[in-house]
Amino acid sequence: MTDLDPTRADAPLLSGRGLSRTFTLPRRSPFQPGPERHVLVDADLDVGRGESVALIGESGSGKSTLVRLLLALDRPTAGTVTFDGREVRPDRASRLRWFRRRTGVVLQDPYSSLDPRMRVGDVVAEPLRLLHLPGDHPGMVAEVLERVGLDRRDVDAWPHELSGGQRQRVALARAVVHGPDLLVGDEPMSALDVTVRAQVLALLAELRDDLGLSLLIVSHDVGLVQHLSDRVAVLQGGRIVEQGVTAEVLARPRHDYTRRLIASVPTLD
Amino acid sequence: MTLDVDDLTVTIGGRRVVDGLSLHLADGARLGLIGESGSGKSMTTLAVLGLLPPQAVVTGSIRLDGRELVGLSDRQLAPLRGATIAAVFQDPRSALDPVMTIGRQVAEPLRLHGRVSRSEARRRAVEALAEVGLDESVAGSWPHQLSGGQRQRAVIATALIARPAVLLADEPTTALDVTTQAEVLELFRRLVDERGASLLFVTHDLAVLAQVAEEASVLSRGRVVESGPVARLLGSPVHPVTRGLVEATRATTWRAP
Repeated sequence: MTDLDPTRADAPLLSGRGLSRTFTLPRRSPFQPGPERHVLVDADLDVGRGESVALIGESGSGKSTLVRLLLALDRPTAGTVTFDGREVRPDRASRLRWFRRRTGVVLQDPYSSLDPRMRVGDVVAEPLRLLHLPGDHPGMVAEVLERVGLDRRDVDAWPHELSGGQRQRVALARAVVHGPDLLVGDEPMSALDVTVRAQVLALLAELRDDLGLSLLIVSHDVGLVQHLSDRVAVLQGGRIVEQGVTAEVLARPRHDYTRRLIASVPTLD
Repeated sequence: MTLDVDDLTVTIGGRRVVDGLSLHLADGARLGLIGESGSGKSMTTLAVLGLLPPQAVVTGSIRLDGRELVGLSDRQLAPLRGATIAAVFQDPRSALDPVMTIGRQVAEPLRLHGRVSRSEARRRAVEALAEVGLDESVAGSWPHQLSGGQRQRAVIATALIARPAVLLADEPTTALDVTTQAEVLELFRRLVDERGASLLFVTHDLAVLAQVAEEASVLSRGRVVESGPVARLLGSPVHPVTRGLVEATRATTWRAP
């Protein structure tokens, strides 16, 4: 057993320790093993209860790999993940159901993340069914649709009938319908128009505050990170090169790469 | 060279995607075209290039230095494309032919438009690559061997090699990482200035627009709802669409602490 007391309020909700992921590339010679590629090296990351944490970095920096490991969608080469004091291992789905019930995920592209042959109501109800959750599913779906700013009559709509912003609301409804403690977003806004982006950003903050959700947001968008996260971890070349309170890291970046990243962001001024 | 669009209307399958749009790109100017998805900005660029789908119905006028482009056949437009007027689109992955080396693709506009020898084309391709900050060795590479930023630089080199007078850029940095985006935007500013070319820069991102354009037109539902200097549009937007864009951008964009 772990020595973390799960009821302790200051213990992190989600915790990754020493996470590494190495891929072995195809061998080039029959006499030697294939070369190794270290996509993530010794990453430590905590998400506290009710806290919003952002992972920022460019394509290939390892941020998606880190999230996959934290969500037990991939097996680390080294390191451990704990959630509420309990170790999380990529395993048979039935043995991870407790973890899936307490986490929700929303992905980048609301055009490809919704099954075009399922009505909105079925899309949103699917986690309830797959996670074997009891209760009045239609009632829960109607409630969550209203919470994300859709109409309860939208249950009968098809994804193609909705705008990009409405689809991302459906994806959010699906991610929180089962009442998770942690919401993970992988570039949740990068496919959206700026006015829709502002709405989804406000909605994410509202869900966090009303439902007491912890957020883990993966993004290359410094603006989103600044507006939404309490803490930020900066990844480059598979390593966390800097992490800390968002306002401090962005105001006084210590690592050279963070400085370069911030200097590159276009501003209105 | 100037580009004048007057009362342009594009109808596709009964739907008006561009609806009475007018804009004026002055010689050597950098004009931004801003709007959200579906506002008609990409359809406008495609109309200028004569690359709309065949079922599109176009009315109004598009004049390049006074010469009417609407109604010209593909055959009449071909000599202009890539030579007088060139374009850079969003996705450098799909803009490059995967089975052609970078050097050959960059030189292609020269081979199509001018009678240049193979060695001359090769020399100018290497020169064009150097201008966008790519090494001579890249000429022998295949597209899949390059990073996203290198690919977009190669696309820009291809667009600029024949020294076009008008450059159309449609979301050219949207697929790039932010540090690469900053470099590519700088490249656009510099090359357009050095060449004295005119630039029409299409984007959905006001913060990006502010980095490249002096003047801009705001599009909504296929028409221009407001035009003016970028600083004025950002500082005191008048039309509700512009105001909505500016507010939403301020709420989501990075602000220096």
